[in-house]
Amino acid sequence: MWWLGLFFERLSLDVVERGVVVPGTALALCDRRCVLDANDAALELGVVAGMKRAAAQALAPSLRLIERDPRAERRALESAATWMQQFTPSVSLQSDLAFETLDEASSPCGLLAEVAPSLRYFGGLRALLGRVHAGLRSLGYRVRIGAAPTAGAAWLLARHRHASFASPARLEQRIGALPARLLARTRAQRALLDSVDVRTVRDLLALPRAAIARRLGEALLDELDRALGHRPEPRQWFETPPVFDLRVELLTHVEQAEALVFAARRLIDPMTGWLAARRGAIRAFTLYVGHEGRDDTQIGIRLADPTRDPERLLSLLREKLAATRLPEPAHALRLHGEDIVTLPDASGELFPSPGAAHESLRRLVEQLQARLGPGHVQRVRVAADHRPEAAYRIETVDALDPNRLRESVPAPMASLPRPLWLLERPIPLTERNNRPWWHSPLRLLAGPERIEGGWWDDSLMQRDYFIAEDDAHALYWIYRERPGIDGRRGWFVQGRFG
Amino acid sequence: MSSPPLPDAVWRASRIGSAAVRSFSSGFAPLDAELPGAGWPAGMLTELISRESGIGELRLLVPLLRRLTRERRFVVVLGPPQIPYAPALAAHGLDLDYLLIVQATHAADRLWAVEQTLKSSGFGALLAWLPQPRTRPEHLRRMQLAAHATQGPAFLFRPLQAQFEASPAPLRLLLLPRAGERLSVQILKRRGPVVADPILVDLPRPPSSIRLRSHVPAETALQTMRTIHGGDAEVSSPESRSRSCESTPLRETSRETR
Repeated sequence: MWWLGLFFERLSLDVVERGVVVPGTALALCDRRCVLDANDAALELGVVAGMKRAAAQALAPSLRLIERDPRAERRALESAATWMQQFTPSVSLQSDLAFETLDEASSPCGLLAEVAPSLRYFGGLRALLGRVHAGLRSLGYRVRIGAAPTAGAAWLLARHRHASFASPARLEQRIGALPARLLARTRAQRALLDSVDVRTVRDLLALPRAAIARRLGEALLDELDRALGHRPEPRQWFETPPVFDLRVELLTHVEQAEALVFAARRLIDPMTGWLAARRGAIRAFTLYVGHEGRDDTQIGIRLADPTRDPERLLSLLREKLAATRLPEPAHALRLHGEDIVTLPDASGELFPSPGAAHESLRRLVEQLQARLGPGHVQRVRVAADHRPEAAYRIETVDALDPNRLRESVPAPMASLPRPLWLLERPIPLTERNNRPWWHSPLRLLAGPERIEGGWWDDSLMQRDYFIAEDDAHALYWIYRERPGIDGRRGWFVQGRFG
Repeated sequence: MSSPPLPDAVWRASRIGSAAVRSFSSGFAPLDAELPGAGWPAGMLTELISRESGIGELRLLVPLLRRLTRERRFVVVLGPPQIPYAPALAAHGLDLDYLLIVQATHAADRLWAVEQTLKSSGFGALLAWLPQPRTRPEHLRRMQLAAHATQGPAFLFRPLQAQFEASPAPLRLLLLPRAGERLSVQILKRRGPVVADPILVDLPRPPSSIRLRSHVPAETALQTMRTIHGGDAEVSSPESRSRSCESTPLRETSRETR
């Protein structure tokens, strides 16, 4: 068994900091009286944990003081647990003292994950640890990770220092070397440990068990026993929620789309973690932009092709946000997604197949459609009609699926010359010396080809088509309206040979 | 004295660049001979400069487009000046399934779309018409940077005045129509020595099209026909070749249509 203990050392602050849209905002987290934690910008101003609220505010007038929101913390931790489930299904939430302040109620501030079965797939413990750490860092969480054969030991190691390991053989030794104060949860416990000069866990274990239990409490002894593997530790596994829903409060009112995208990234990343845990790809999701005192603006996004690639989701969101006009500045963002499809896991390929190129093209089509409008990516088709204007049709590309493309193409009437460019509508030509004229006299090179038709749908035409060349040797497709039908006559240019 | 081997990215000005460039044959032997890498280069911009559209610039690319679409690679046509006419494209042997047409009316949108397409790099070839008054050198520089990762050639169609502007595109060609369905291709810029003389290219025609009444002497005209179909063996079956070499009077064919 290998357990990873993930201690979210500054969870409360991380949760609040997600809402920062203007970099460099000084932030301090506080309870009703004191500052609990402060971000780097606030620390630079001299704000430290333990300071009174009023003192901190006086010291740094620009400081934003924000109260802890345990509910938001729990939700954040759950989304991190979901994200973690892409590595192992066995993840559970861990409660402990969130801050160094003793005598407080414990709150969820960490995760424990059993990773032994996943080690080989992710390239070993160190590689996995690096991935988890970097991944959580990019989600905006500062974590300390410990690894040990028992959950309790992993948790103690994580609380002690980042990246501390204990192999099964050296478990007792490593735990023994930990400072005993790590186990103290109350002022009384710490005072006692200090007074009897117990520095390390080893010192503590040297004392008689009954005495420890009586003086420091059964709970502390239990924790030690579990850490050392003397007692089983049943854990309740976290279950992946079927719906993704995460909200972030923005600390400032945001109007610019780019700043919203910046904030939305902190919602997209956990969502892709959720998708990875559910082995799925998202087909549609909604971004709710919260406004003060009015209904949220809903931005629905539907994907032609389901994905869980954060960059792709973000670029779609960027296009969509740029095109959306918000009635009022935003003060919160909420991302909601539940429409997912299960994806077969892609296998690593030695040589990239054309499928990969199609995949990136599909993404491009989506992106173009998001900005230009769905009708602006088109395909031309041959239609069975003699009349040049009716011999083609334009259709909108909606989903680019190379396997679904094949459709019966009417055999083209290939034997006659047709121009590669067709003009939107025929342009009348002037006539000089009985010859059609378009910037210069046109010479007829071939023709006439008579095309008649359209009596069935009221667009009767009778035309004689010619291929003409101008003085610069460019070729045109021109026609002469046959006289007598509705008075239209003369020469027209309808196409260019490209 | 033998010169030490140079990295592929370095080319000597006296020689025509080759190895480093992935290229696609243009389908015209005389043109391939002068293009670095013996064909249309991938991973960089190619500018095709002409007075206006419709002088044969599209037919110059027909052999390439035919090959790519048949290999099931997508050709993106971005901001075409007129309607790409499906019957003619199909007659030239292009698979229309693999031709994507992107319409972007606003200049800013079009420049954006070109850059995005180049970045996506999943296309077989890109044909883009830039809005001339809005195109600045920095746009082109960004496009050239984005083009580095592409797997297929990227063509920018530009008007005549563009030939006097500086451009980061490593290959720039000036196209002029010539009599007898030929196109003069002058290489303005390439990775290699300067070419003074324009290259004459016989433009491809649909396999069984009729012959044009030409103003060049009959003998040359016949020769032109042969070279066209000789260089185009993939499409013209023996029967279609023989058919096209007979001078079929046009009136007969038009009667069939009626």
